[in-house]
Amino acid sequence: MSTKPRLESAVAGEAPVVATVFAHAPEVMEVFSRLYARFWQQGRVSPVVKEMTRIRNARITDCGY
Amino acid sequence: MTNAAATAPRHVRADERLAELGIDPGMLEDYRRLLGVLDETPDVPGRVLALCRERVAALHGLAATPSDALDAPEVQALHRGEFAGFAASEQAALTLVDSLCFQPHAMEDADVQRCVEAFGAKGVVGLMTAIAFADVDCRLRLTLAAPGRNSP
Repeated sequence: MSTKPRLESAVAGEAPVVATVFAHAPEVMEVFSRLYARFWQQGRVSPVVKEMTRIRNARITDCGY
Repeated sequence: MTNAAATAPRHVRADERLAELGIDPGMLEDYRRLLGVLDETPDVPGRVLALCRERVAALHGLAATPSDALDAPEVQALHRGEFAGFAASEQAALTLVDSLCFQPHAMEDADVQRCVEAFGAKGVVGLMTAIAFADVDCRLRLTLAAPGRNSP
């Protein structure tokens, strides 16, 4: 596991976090963000259930998000 | 569909299965748009993406969607986890696949750095996203009972 960013931020003056690293490929970021937003904001599964599964997934994969 | 794909066993992609199951059309469209952008990323050769998708599928006990970019011995090598015969940049990408899918914490900084040197930072973003969504595709295929599983 890394303890330092593996990719630099693509946004000057901004820390290397998911969004600023994703910004290296803006065309990918745009379509991913659109899908991700639709997934969280729409659909038949309630936001509560989605959030529960997201947290459980993060626990299983030992992800800090 | 290519001739090679037409004669190979049918491997239903997850998005096709999602369409059959009646997923929200807008979400399906956005999902396919993302897959299309990842396919066309200019910083990662299509052959590298094909190698990675086949390796992801192999890790899940599946076959990837047939690709003209790979020949049969290469596909067999990927399913055996033997990367030595591939170019250095291809091996770098395949190393990411093996850690990203099932043991992301095992990924080494040096593994990522090799990919940065081969594809650039922009390419690595596209490559990792493509690998992640190849993993998504396989997990959906398995859980939605789509055809294509190799094991009996």
